[in-house]
Formats: sequence, C-alpha cells, structure tokens
Amino acid sequence: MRDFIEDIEEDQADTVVVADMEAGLEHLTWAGGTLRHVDLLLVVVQPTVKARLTADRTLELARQLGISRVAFVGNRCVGPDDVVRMEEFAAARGCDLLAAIPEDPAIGAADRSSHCVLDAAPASAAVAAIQALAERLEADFLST
Amino acid sequence: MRLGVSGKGGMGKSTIAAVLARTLSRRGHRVVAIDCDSDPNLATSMGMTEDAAAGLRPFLDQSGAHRHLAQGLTSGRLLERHGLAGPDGTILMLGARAEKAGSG
Repeated sequence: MRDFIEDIEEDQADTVVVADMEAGLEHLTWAGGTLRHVDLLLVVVQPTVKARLTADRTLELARQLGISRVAFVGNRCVGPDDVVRMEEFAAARGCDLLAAIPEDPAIGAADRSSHCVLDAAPASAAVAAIQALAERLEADFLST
Repeated sequence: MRLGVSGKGGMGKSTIAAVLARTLSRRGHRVVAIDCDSDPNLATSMGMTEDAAAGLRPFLDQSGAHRHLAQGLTSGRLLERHGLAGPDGTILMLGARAEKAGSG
C-alpha cells in the first residue's frame, strides 16, 4: 500500500488519491507506515474525549513518520460550542481545522437506505460542509 | 495530491472520504479512491450497490504473511487491473479484505 501510494505520485502526478484508512492506528505502524507518502493526513475527530485521545496518538505517530502535513476535520459538531472546542483542539496542536461538519440526520438516513448522502441529501448541511472542504483542499493543493 | 483520511472507528471517515472523492471528481480532477480498511465499506459509502462493490478485487497480494504489492507492477498497471469505475467518474480500489481469520 505504501509503495503504491508512493508510486502513483511519480507515475500519475495529476491524480488525486483519497485513501480511506483503517480505523485506528494500524496503518500508521505496520510495514513502516502505509501513510508515509501522503501529502496531507486528515484526522477525523468528533468532539468527544475518546476521539481526541485517538487523534492525539495519531498525530504523534504521524509526526514520527514525517508525514508532511496533518490537519483535523471535526465531525458531528452540535452548535458553535463544539466548533470552538474543535478549533481550540487543533490550534493547541499547531494544526488547522479544515472543516467542522455539523451533526446531520441526513447522514444516518443515507446509511440506513444504503445511499451516498451526496445522492440522498445533496442539499444537506453535512454535504455542504464536505464540499466546502473539497474546495479548500483544491485551493491549497490543486491550484496551478 | 495524496490524501489520507484517518480516525477512530465510527468517526465518519468513509462518509467524508466518499463525498470528498466524488466532489473532487465532479470538479474535474482524476480521483482514485482507495479503501484501505480490511473491513471495507467505501464503495457502498460512495453509493455503489453491494453487487457492484463485490466486483472489487484487492490489489495487495494476500498470499504471504504480509499484504504487499504483487511483484513488478506499477501503479498504472494496478489501476488497470483492479480499478473499478465508481460514481461521478471516480476510480475505486480495494487494498485488502480480511478473508480468513489470522490472515494479515
């Protein structure tokens, strides 16, 4: 996996690779780190203590591996207090919070009906937040 | 750009990765979405049916003790062999699937 991710950049520089990693930390440790060659590691975190503990361990391992950039994405944020908590969490670690995706029943409803939320609820708040994240990544990494 | 999406289980990784991949593809980028989870669900998160997702074959060689790339294959060849057309023009790849207990 690590070799593939390294090779695809050399081979096909115009391609955007979105790697949905295994839950937890295994991908950062086995075989020297599957993710060593990513340009940006997005760590999805919810405003809970348990999620933040995992995020902290992920950040530590990512730094040991020399991953060039790590940023956080807050998910299931309920109200402005959660967004502030996520922003403070990221800032305290010297990272950006690239998105604060709101708690949105459209996500669970799409899951239960086996649809992508992009098809099931294209105008939902969560979809809007993820689309804004895509535009931000495009501006930061893909503009020529 | 190579983007990794990480986090604790249940955080919403696959949903976010799926919408990101499809949105970037809609915006004109060539997007390869890779499900690196041994319990994969990115294809269904992207809106593919279970039947379509079943057409995905892992591109990592699972015959040995560790999952690794089959010898001598470039990423381009791997994409041709293992990439599946996904929604909005995305290309989907599956890293590995846990097929028997104890396999790594």
